[in-house]
Parts: sequence; C-alpha cells; structure tokens
Amino acid sequence: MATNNGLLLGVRKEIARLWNVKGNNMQSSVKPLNITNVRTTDTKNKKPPQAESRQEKTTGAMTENIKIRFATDMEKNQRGVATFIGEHITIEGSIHAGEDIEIEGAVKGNITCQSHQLTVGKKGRIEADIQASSIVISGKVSGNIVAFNTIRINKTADISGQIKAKSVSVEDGAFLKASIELDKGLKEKPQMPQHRVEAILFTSDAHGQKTLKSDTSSISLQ
Amino acid sequence: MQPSILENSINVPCSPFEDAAHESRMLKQYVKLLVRCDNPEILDMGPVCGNNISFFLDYAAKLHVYDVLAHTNDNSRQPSLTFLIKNLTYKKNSLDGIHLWDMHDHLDNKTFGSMLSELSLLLKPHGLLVMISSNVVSGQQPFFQYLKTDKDLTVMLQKDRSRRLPYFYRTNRDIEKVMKPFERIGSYICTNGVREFLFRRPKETKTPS
Repeated sequence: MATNNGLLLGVRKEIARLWNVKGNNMQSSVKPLNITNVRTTDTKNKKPPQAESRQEKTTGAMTENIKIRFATDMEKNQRGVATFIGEHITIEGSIHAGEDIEIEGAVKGNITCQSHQLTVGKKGRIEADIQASSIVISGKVSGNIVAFNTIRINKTADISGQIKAKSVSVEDGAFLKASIELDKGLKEKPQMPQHRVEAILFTSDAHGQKTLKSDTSSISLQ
Repeated sequence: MQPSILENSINVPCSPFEDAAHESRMLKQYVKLLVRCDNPEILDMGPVCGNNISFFLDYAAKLHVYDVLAHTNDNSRQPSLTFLIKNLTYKKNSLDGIHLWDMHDHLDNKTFGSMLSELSLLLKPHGLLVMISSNVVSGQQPFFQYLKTDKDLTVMLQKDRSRRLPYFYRTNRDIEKVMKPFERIGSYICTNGVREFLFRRPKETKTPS
C-alpha cells in the first residue's frame, strides 16, 4: 500500500513537472528570446540569485554585460532596493515590477510599479508614463506620472509632464515644467499576478558609444 | 585682478534682501480671491520652490510649474521671446492665477510686454496675476527665491547664486505702462526692498500698446 502511495505521489510530481515545463515553453514561444531569460526567484522559498551582472548572449557576434541586477536579500536590506537597472541599459517597452525598482539607465514606454517604490536615480532618463505606489525622482523624466502615495522630487530632477499624487514634495531648485494635481482619492490597483519586463534591450559600452539592438521581446521576472 | 562692480554686486551680500522676511499683503489678498474660484488652476512661473508648491497645492486643483528662466540654455541672458511664447503651451482662458516671482526684472520691456499679452490670453476673465520683485534701483541683482514659511504668508528671501541674469529696473509708473492688458488691484512696497503687485485680467482683454 505504501509503495502504491509512493508511486502515486511520483506520478503526480511528474505530471506537475511536465505541466510546468509546458507552461514555460508556452511562455517563451511568444517570441524566441535572444537574450536569455533573466529570472528572479521567490526569495522566501528558493535560493536567492547571485548579485553580479550576468553575461547575456545577444544576436550577432557581440556580447555585452547587461546590468539588470536582482539583489540578494542582504542587498535588499542594505540598499532597500530590489531591482536595479544600470546606467548603460536602455529599455524600450513596458516594465511591470512587483518589487521596488531603481533606474539609473534609460527607459522608454511604460513603467508600472503597483504597491512598490520606483526610484529614478540621478543618471536615469525616463520617457514613459509611470504608475507607482511611491516615486522618488532625481533624474530626467518626461511623461505622465501617477503616484498612489507620495512623490518626492529632488533638486537634480528634470521633469516635464503631468504629475498626479496623494502628496508631493519638491526640493528647491528642481527643474520642472509640469502640471501637478493632488488626488487624495487615488487608490492602488490590485497587484498584478505576474511581474514582467517586456522590453527591447539596447546595450552600450561604458562610453555610451556603441549601441546594439536585440530583437528580444520579453524578459520574464517571476 | 579686481572683480568688476557687477561681480561685486553678486558676491557681496545684498543688504536690503539679506535675511529679509515680510508678511505679504498682496498674497493674502490673492489667496482670498483664489479660494472663491471653482477648482482653480494656477501657473507658477517663478523659481521652483518646494514650500511654494506645497502651499499652493492646498488651494489649487491644478498647479502648473514652469520656471521659464531656468529653462534657458544660457543663465546669463534673458530668454528669447520666441522661446518664451513657444513654451507657454497652456489652454487659453484656463488659468485662474499666474505667479511671476522675481521674473519680470530679468526681461526687457519688449519681451516682457509681449509675454504679458500672451499671459493675459491664458488667464480667465478676472483671472489674477501676482508679481513679486525687488525694488533695488541699480546693479545686476542676484536672483532670489521666495519661501513662504507658514499660513500667515510670510515671505522669506533666498539667494540663488547659480544664475547671473540681467536686471532691468522699472519704476512703478513703468510697470503700470507695461501691464496695460491688466487692471491693478493693489500694490505694496515693503521696507525690505520687495515690491508686490496684484493684477486682474479685465473681462475684455485690452490690446497692449
């Protein structure tokens, strides 16, 4: 009887495994990925990923470091930021983040960061509509911004567009051409079940001279 | 090498303004009139100042912030008229109030006059225009920011050493002349070297001379 139960359990596990494999294949079959999938792991149950930048394969003969870093638990505690997009990264498309995100690179498209904080660093260049729980801006942003809670605009920020937030704080000397509306009735939308970055990645060298376009359409973040 | 007189006027603390604070009568009147408007929309064209923004967001449904002098490439020259007008992309007859904090002193008569006629079109009929500027007659003036510290509308002054804009002093009569598209509600000269003006757009917009 015990053997039967063990066998049954094994079969169930195998079905579950096959089901997962099928699911993953379906996801990746949307478009072949030229940049290998970058994944974060569930930090509660699984082993955290290594913090160093990953070497990614791109189309053509060129290979570049892509600095999308998913921090370890220790880093999260130290920096308070889960995902960091480096200075030499350009992303075109939509970012849906299910954890805090800090951007020092360039993003064109949409950024949705429900229930979490979005930080645009001093070197960040964003041309996107942004929605986040709270937002801190020190870099250049052009687009419509919605903060469900607070938005903090630092002195080094350069913003053009519309800002809607529950509360706004601006440091003297910030560079603004913006329309600000306080909306105390703003509510966070329910969290997305899966967090994805759908993007076309452009990578460049340290001097920003060389730009390489890949036809990658999506990067899945679990 | 000796610094020029103009450089001196930037580097040496300007006594009439240093640590100066005053209770603003014109701003009080402005806020009083503003709260009567339904969902007021305001355009703040002065230097970006966090306190000012927080303060006026309590009164305005929408606050447009555009520090026009900061957006010029060269901070030692006034912006061109084309640049100014091209960037005033707000809807006509949409604004209830416009703030010109320490701005018109840095524009010559022609540029300022043309900009005013544009602004008068953006204001709603009876829309308000507040101007606060220095009353120092000569020399290239340092650029100041104004901070309201509390609900009593205390205005404090702060230096901005990063800008070296030209300075055009105007007498009150000169200001009256250039402000032809508007009706004056009140003006006030403070002992700390600050002048305040409150204007209103008449129902029928006058054409500037």
